[in-house]
Amino acid sequence: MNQFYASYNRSIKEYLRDKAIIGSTFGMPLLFIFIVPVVFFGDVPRDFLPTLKGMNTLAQIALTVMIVGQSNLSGSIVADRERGLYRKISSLPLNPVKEVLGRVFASLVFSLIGLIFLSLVGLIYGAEFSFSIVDLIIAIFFLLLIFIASVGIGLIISSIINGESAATHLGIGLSMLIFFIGIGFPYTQLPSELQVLSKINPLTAAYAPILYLLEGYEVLGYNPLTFVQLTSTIVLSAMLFGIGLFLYKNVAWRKR
Amino acid sequence: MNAIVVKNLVKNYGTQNILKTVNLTIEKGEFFSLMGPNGSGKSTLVSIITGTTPITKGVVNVYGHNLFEESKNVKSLIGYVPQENFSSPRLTGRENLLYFAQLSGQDKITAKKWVDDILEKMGLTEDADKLVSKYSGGMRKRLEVATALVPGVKILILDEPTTGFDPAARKMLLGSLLEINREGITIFLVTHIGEDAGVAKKVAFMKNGKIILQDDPKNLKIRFKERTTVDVKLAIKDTHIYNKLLSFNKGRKVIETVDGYKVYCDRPEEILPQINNYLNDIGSPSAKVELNPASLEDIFFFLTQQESRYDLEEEK
Repeated sequence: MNQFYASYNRSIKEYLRDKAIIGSTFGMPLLFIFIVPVVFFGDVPRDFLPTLKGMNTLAQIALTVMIVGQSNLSGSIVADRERGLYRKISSLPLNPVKEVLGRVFASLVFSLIGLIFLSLVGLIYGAEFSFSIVDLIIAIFFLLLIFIASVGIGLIISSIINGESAATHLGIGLSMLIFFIGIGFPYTQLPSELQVLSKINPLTAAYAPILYLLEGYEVLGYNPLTFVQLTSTIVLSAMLFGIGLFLYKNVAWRKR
Repeated sequence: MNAIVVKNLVKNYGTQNILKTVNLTIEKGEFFSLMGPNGSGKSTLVSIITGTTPITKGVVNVYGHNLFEESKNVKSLIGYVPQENFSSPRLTGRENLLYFAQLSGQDKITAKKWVDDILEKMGLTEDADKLVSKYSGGMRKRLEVATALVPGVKILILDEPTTGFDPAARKMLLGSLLEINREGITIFLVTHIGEDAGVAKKVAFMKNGKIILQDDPKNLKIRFKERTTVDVKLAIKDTHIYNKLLSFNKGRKVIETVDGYKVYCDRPEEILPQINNYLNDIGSPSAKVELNPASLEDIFFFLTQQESRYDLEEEK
């Protein structure tokens, strides 16, 4: 527990004290909360605008969670490796899994800060959501799936990429790519090939139920809460996390 | 009981033979220093002893525990300070220490008490709550040495800790190491700097994956008393002069120093008149030529960088 807590404590302090991390994680989604309605929702009837703003806020929260898992986590691991920290900590009687879970938990708390901040900004800006408490709990579960899958990708990036800048940019690039295929541009607006992809990709597939539960069927365009869809999303997210953890323990931890 | 015993250690990376039958014994409480050029295998040896690299053949025992069979026990006895600045610049000195203490398994209350003690011991109490990014190079390295001294550590392994330091910072760090050693901690110092190695009780030289010589620094200076260097001090340094010194020394080591050149030679009496005559010929009356006994750093050059008599004997 001490090792987990030490790792968590260090990581969360590093995140909160790094202006570049705060800027890249919250800055872009914050900007999108204000810009997207101006650019894309100009012709939308006024009655429908709060729902679209709500939809946009949810998309930006998902983007933040993806950036934290894929970019911040991988960037911080690679930066620590470049700094020689892994040379040092691998000489300690330390379990790599406890160490990385501390980092992951710090990323979760950082994502939560982003979630609260962006939700408040969205609400102040006129976003509207309609849901029950049960819907909200289920939606949080799916947001956790996005987080778990993103962490998996982040751990894979940190295992195969050398250089903090390369890892961070690859993480941001992947987050943006996923964002545009099924999150920023929802299912109904995608060409048919990308619609299929958005149902398979665990990150976009986990986002669909969030949109469905908090904004309704009309906004998403299909029912994502089917057995097959849910099973594949959970299994693929867990697989990404498992592969990431395995690579971290066997590659990233030992890489010099 | 010995602190570290390395027996017939071999390490291969693919077909490359990095360590060739290394044998080494470091006594409990000893201050041991290892010198060797880049690529000699020092870092590999250190990474094996710190339990981060597997071995190909041989045995490594730390305080009687087999390194690979009782890895967890051994790791808790060793405090390692890599060459890089691994402490986080965005955390304070105190936070960095707390991180490593808890990572080593201490609970928060014990860790906090230890942090206060070690900060005082390393002379960092006043700067404990400053971000490490505000620390000088010397302070940061002292902090990193402190991270390796968590309770239970009996051996401190440092990889070139004074690289890039000014003399005052080096002196301070070496003073701290001697203090730590006096308290009974065994020290294994890897360095390129002869003066640093000179504080050790035993110095070993490594070349091409082998320990080629190990002895007390005083004994080494006696053994190498016939070895001298010719120090040529000049107002202006020049490539022609360097090339000429190199030719007098038959292509053997000549290095540039702050105020001239240092010529490593076996028979200074032969080349000294040649150098004096040459400097007179080119009109450098202000030049100063001195014969000096070999320092540990000079012995290091003799042993590891030149085709010296000692090397040839070792090769045979």
